[in-house]
Amino acid sequence: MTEEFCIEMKNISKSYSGVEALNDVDISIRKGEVHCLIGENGSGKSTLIKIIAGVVTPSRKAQITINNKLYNKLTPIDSMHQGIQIIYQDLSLFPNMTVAENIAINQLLESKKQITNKRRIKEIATRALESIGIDLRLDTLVGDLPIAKQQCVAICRAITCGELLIIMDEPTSSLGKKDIDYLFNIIKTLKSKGIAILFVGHKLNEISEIADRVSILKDGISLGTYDIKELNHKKMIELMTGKTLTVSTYAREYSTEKPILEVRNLSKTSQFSDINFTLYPGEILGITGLVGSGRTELVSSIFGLNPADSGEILIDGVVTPIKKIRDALKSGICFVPEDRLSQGLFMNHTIENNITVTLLKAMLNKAGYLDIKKVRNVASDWVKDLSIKTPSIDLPVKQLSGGNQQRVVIAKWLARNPRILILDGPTIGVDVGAKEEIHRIIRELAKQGLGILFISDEASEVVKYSHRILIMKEGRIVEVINSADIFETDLLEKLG
Amino acid sequence: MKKHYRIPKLFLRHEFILAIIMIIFGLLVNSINPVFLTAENIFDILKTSSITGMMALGVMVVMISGGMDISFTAIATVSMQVTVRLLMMLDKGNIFVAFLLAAIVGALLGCVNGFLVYRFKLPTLIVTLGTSNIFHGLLLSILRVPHLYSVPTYYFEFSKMLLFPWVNQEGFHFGLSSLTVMLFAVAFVIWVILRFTMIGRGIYALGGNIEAAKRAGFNIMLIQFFIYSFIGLTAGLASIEYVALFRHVHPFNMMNMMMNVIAAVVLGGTSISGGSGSVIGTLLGVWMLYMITNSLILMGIPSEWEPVVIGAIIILSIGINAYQKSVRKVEVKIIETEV
Repeated sequence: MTEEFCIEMKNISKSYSGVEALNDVDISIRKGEVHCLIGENGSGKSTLIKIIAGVVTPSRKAQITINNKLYNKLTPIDSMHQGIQIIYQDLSLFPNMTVAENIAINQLLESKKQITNKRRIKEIATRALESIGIDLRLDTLVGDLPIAKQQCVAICRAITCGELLIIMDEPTSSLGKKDIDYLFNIIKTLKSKGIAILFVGHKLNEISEIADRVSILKDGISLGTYDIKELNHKKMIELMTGKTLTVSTYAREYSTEKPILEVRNLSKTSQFSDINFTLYPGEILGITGLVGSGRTELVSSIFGLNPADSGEILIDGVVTPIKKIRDALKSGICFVPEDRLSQGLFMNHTIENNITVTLLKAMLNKAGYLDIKKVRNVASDWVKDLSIKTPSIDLPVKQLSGGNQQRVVIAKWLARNPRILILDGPTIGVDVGAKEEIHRIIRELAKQGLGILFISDEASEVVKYSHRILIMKEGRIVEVINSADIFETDLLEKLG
Repeated sequence: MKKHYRIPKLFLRHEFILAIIMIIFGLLVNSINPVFLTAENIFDILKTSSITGMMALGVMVVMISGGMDISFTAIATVSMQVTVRLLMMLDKGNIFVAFLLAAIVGALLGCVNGFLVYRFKLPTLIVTLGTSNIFHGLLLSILRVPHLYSVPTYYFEFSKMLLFPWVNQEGFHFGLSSLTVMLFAVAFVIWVILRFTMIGRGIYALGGNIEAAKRAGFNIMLIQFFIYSFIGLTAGLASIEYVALFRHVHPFNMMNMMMNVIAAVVLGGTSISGGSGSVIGTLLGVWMLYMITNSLILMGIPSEWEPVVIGAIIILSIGINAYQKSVRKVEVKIIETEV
């Protein structure tokens, strides 16, 4: 065991029912360093950190050395006694208990004392808060605090028992820029106290800012640990995805004479302001920006779900007031929402029902009853057109894979023959192969003359699959750029 | 600098508002019928509400942990039958043995619930719905004659016992009933446990975030068994109090008390979704409920109106609770922006 490492793990492997989540992974952590763990979804990050915390046991014999002590098997108690604490992505706090109680709870449970002492709780909590320099009222209920402050409570709880290493699982996923800066200051303070941080994340600009060293996982295999100085965004992406830079292949294949959709000075208080852009028939416009930049709110207002306070929307050059969803539908606008599970699909209903649900009025026969045959035909046609993989259209959609579910949602709206299609995060939770397929479908639709808006968090997706890119920041459009004119790494920098 | 007027924390608490409502209500009813706020009547309310109160303490603990137990009246009924009949068969025993035996039977039946809830991770409402039917059904199928109208005198003697008895002008004895004293004793014990022990923290933790409770290292098995045997125990005690007060053993009467007990607990501020609740609140909720039914009688309102009034007050109390939560959120926002 080398002097500089306080934790050394070699030959870590873990399989779940035959699927190998981790294969012979090595990782070492230096005392007091900020070590970032990056990798795509499914690369094994969660499994690895759970093994370090002792919550999961490796499938084969592994070498785990912590503070010069060799372990064959690591239990959560061992891990805790060595001063390793893990902050899960959902923070695992008790919303009905006070800040003081939440902070002190780990230490109380460790001491095994059955009687609680209010004074002791207060002491533990005050000490933790002071050591990081955070000011919070001890008797506030944690459930009443904003997320950023809840995270402070989670960190304080971790440092009461975590003198060696604190593992943070994607701590910035629901934070805005200001809160992220606040968090990073705390991390720096922890570092100065000699506490190492294992930071799991995937936003590369954050990694560049905070990391000392970075470990990369891909498909359960460790691609090595690098000093942050040796890395740039380009290299990180290449390592994480195994692919080289993506360049857009979407040349302009449409006419820019008459815009199909034009938005002028669209504003809604505290959501977005002064939005101006045009969309041409046959164009795919990718909208991107950080969480909270107002993208979903903007497209929701074009769909009438979230009507704007001021500004104009023009369809085919004609000012069209859109105050409710019916107005949007009448103008041929359709919206595929981000959360297909709760907003896009009736999970327990069949594929057939889901596809035809918005068309039922058009499916009535002369007597006013539903034409079952017609419904079935329409649904079957769409399943074929969009290559939805299913043995039967009578299957409930919850049994489909993510990619196929997304296709059902798209089919539902395409069945209405829209002229403008809005997709919010169309490939979230969809694997790489299906992603390619869905974008192929979108491109086909564009070629047929639809105007398409899609929102994505992934710079690579937006660069690769759109004609033009709209970048939003804090409710405003900051840039409109041709996808052919930019690399994704540069786009990432612009977003940061 | 904007001056922020902060409402003192005390005034926002559900228990405080409930107490105020009770006082106002009491004064109102008293103006219609001055018998209401007399010592005799108040002690009487305290006495008759003790049975509901005892069971309410058990229900409160289950609710705080995020669960729901609807088998407690069945457990009470079974405990009552088993205890009274067994002691009568053996021709031995006294009131204390009766309470002890009923408590043990109740706790054991509660353990069955605890086992099913913990071991198989089944939803608590469904489990207790099942065990309620099983316990009660088994009882009725075993007993050929489920009613028992002749019980040993020591039951009724106990209910007549008073702490610090007074005598009023008509020669009527009144004072703090033994039943009320029992309620206070059990209330005190559970208050101490909830407030000062790790099991108590664990109960609140389960109700707040069960995943986090598991990850933090709470002994979930111990806590669940404690919760469900506690409600069983209180149900057992309540059942003997029933026999003491009403001098008979009945297979159905206690079953019908379920809704009122739950109403009282909710009225007292315990959240149905779990994570919050207090002993004081529950006691106030029980007394409020009985104040209402008692006052309806004194005001000559037909008993059919009782559920209507209770229902209205439950909705009102939940509404006030929800309003308080939103006020607290606004307060926190103000504090955070000041910082």
